[in-house]
Amino acid sequence: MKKSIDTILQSVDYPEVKLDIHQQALKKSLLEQYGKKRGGDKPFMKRNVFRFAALGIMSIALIGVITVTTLLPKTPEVQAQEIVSNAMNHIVKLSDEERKVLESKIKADLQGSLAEAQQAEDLTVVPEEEIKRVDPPKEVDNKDVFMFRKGSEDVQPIAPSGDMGNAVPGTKIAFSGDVMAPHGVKVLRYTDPQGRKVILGINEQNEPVMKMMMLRKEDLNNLPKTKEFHLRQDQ
Amino acid sequence: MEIQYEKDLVERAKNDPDAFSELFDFYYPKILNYSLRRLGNIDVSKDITSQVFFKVLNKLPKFTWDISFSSWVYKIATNEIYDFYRSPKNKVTSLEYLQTVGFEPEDLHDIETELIAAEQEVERHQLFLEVQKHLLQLDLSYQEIISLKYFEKKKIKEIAEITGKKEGTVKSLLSRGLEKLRSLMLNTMDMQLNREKNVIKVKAE
Repeated sequence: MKKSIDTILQSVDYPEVKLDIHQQALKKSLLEQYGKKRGGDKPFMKRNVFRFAALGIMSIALIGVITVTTLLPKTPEVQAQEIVSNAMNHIVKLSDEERKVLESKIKADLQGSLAEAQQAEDLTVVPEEEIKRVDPPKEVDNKDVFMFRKGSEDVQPIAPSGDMGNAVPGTKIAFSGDVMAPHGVKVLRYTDPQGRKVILGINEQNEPVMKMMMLRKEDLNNLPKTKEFHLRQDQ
Repeated sequence: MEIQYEKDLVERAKNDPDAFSELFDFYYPKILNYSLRRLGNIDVSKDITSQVFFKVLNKLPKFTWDISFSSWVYKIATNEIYDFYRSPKNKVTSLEYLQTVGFEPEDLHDIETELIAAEQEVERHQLFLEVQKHLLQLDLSYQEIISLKYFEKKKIKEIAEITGKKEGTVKSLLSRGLEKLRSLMLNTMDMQLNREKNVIKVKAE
């Protein structure tokens, strides 16, 4: 009997009606809705006029920001932060070996030094007029290049960090220069967490190539007295 | 409609009213007649069909191909019919509803004439009306599946997509539904036979 109900249902002639007027009216109304929802020709243009206007305003604002940031002179503090940031980006790409070479050159931890500079409140670029440019590598060697503050009555030696053992406490030397650095090296200055003035040099490849610090009395007093102090006197 | 062609058309219809028009023209008669066979009332079927296509229009941008487009449209229609049966408030003529969404019949008289012609067309199918009369006494889940299988000639897989049921469930619902429909029809036939016998008996006396 189940088969017969199946047969009956299969054999039924089902009605197939047409409602052409309703179909056309409904289509018309659907297309009107379509236009409102997704934008037909006019709504599309209207919607996009606002989009283009918004885009235009944003573009003008963006151009303004770029102009202001590129054309206005940057302060030494901003420049210093940029230099340190570029150096940070550079050193993360270095191999372990390349990093060791650089660290032995500046006798300091690369990343730590840059982080320290970045966090210092007084990080700035040393003005060019305070720098004595020299030609590397002959004249520049961490072993014998030291820098002094100009015009200070109590002349203080500035020693390469990590190499303070070579300084001779209490040595007073007449000095006419400010900061000695190779050409192309950007020279930054900041105060480290221990209160010492630090000079950080970063070359054109964004590699930190020198780190010097101004030794204070207490630093000098803590130095071992047996070491020979190599000092190159600026003539 | 060829599957690939339909796929392209559906994707285009998301942003192209002409493509949407083509889809509408293809599916309108299918959904109208599906509703009519389910409900038996051309006026309500017309309104249900309108609601289905407004939903298709609104939901089309979010349509993904989890199921075929055809199954998706039928699913919307099936849900609309389900809501119609379940919610008495929907049992009003939806012309008001259509007017709220922008439907403006140009000539109500023409529509009425068209509906009368459609009713007459339905009335010509006496066997269908007989089956439908019994079918409407079944639970909605049986009605759905039997209608889709026999009225719309859908495969089990398609019915599963439309109703959101597993194919096994569809098969067992179909089997049980047919059994119930058969019983109902047999009872009616018995009652008719008995009635006819009684009439003959009375006449003989």
